[in-house]
This record gives sequence, C-alpha cells and structure tokens, in this order.
Amino acid sequence: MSSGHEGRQELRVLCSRYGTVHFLLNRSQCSTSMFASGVQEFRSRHRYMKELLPVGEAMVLLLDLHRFWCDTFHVTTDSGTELAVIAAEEVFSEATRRWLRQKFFPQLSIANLSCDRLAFRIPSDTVMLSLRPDQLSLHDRRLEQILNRRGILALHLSEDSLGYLIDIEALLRSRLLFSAGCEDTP
Amino acid sequence: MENEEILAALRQRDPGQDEADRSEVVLTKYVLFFVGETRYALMASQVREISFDNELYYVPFVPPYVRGYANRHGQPFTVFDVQMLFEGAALESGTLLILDVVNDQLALLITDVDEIVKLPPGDIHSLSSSDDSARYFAHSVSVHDQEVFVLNVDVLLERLERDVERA
Repeated sequence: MSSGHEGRQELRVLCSRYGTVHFLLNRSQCSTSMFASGVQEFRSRHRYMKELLPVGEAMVLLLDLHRFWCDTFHVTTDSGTELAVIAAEEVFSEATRRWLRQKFFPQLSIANLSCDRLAFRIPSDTVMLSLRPDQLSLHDRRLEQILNRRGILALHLSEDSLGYLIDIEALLRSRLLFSAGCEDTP
Repeated sequence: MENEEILAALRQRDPGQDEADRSEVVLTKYVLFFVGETRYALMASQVREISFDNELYYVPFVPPYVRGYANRHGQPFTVFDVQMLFEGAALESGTLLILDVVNDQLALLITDVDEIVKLPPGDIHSLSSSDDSARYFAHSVSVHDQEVFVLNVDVLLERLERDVERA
C-alpha cells in the first residue's frame, strides 16, 4: 500500500477482467510486467506449470494464472493472455523465499532456470487501478480462513462486477498452482 | 340501511369476533417460500428483503451448498442453497431471501415467495422426529391444512462452519 495525495492509504492493483468477475493482484507483489514472448514449453504433469519465459540470459518459470482462474472460478475471457507479471523473491517472506530456493526450484531440474523470481501469465488487457482499502470487503467470516489460505484474500465489489484480491504468496504456498488438476470443493 | 342495522348485521355474521379481539392472541408472522417444489417457511423477523434477478458469483473451495456471493448494494452476501444441501441438486434461480441476521450477510436461494401469513400459537408445532434432517428445522407450521417446515438458520450455519473446518 502507498499513501495517496490526500494522505489516505491507497492500494495499487493490477486488474484482470473476466466478464462480471475480476481479479486483483497487489502491485507490491509484482516487480514488473512484460510481454510474454519467446515462451518455451517443457514437459510437465502440472497443469499450470509448463512454460519458461526468457528474461535476459535466464529462463523464468511462467505459471499460468489465467488458466488457474478459468478453471477455479469458472470464468472466461476473450482477451489474449500474452502478459506476464514478474514477482522477484524480495516480495515474498523469508519463509517463502527459503522454500522456493531450497525445495521448489531445485526439484525442477531445469537448466539455466532463474531461482530469484517467478512469472505469472495473465490477460493482456489487464489494467492498473488505485483503490482505497475501504473499497475492499472481507469474506464471510466462516469462509475467510479456507479462502485466505488459498490466496483469495478479499473482495472488491463494483456496480457490475465482483473482484477477488489475490495474494500471490499465499497462492504459491497453497501449492494449487503446482497441482495436476484443479482442486475445488473440499 | 341504518348504521345500527349495519353493525348488527356485521355482528351476526361473525359473532365471535369481538371475543377474539379481546383475547389478544399473539400472532407470529412467517414468510412461506418455495425451493423447487418444496415449501419452507422462515419467521418474518428473520427476513430483511426479497431480491430478484441476482447474479451469483461463484466461490471455489467451499461446500457446494454455498452457491457464492451476491452483490447487494455493494456488500457481499453469502448465498446458501438448501436444495443443494438437502437433495444434492443445485437450484437454478436468481431469487434471494436476504436474511436479517446480526453481524452477518446471508441470503437463501429460493424459487419464489409463496405468501406471508400470521399464525396463532395453535398452528405452530414442535418437531419430535429423530430423523437427522429434522435438526435443520426449528418447528413446523400449519398453513391451509398443510404442514410447512420452518428452517433453522442457526443450524444451517453450524453445518457450514463444521464443513469448512473439515476442509
């Protein structure tokens, strides 16, 4: 979160629309974004983890957030999905960084793989928005824990749409992006 | 017809009415509604409003009888589908009973509202069934010689809390 012109706190988010549903990524968890070109596929049994994005000399693991949202929230979009947001490890907690470096990346055994950042494929028509925290709503208290643990942090209700604020770190730690299919109902 | 004659005629038509009025019978108001073909009731004090043509926003990872959120005046309401809970079949509808529950934003997905009735204590019956499903009902009411089960919202919510804890 950052401070706005009038001293009020504001949240900068990336907003991806899927009809009447939208997804928000906190800008503080996204180091940069880029056009996903030169993407290479690799053999993988994981539905959302089978691509590498060349960034400079290195290859960055590209997780398909768009496909995960489509599967998990039953949404679709006509937009292309050629945008990649990069999350450098600095945006994550020490525990997550340690897990990524010591357990997650080594088991992939991919040559020239960058171990200090991850990329996420999202729709090309994603836009940047500024929100005040009071424009977000908490989940139903009974559902809060189960959803927070899976990276679905809060809600954003607009006149014609409902949005989910996604916490990339919680989503990573849930391992949902590394599953073979789609976990849904408990 | 003179006024006195009118009054006399009215009294003759319903001679017990004055006594009934004086006995101060406490009537309880219920909202009767259909979920699919089944008629249920809720005490009217538990219903804030009836809302039509709502879009439901799917929420993953929760029990299937939570059909998602509804956006009511910019606030998220959790939508509960009792047909899914009782029969395992999702109700196709956009009609909601918005519940009046303290510190909670809940709605029941229904097919349509049937009627609103005021009932005397004699038409309200406790349930004695040992059937497990009976715990979802607070009591039953007699309406037009038919028995209608009154949903127990607290027990529905306890079920949700239990299912989410297990997940």
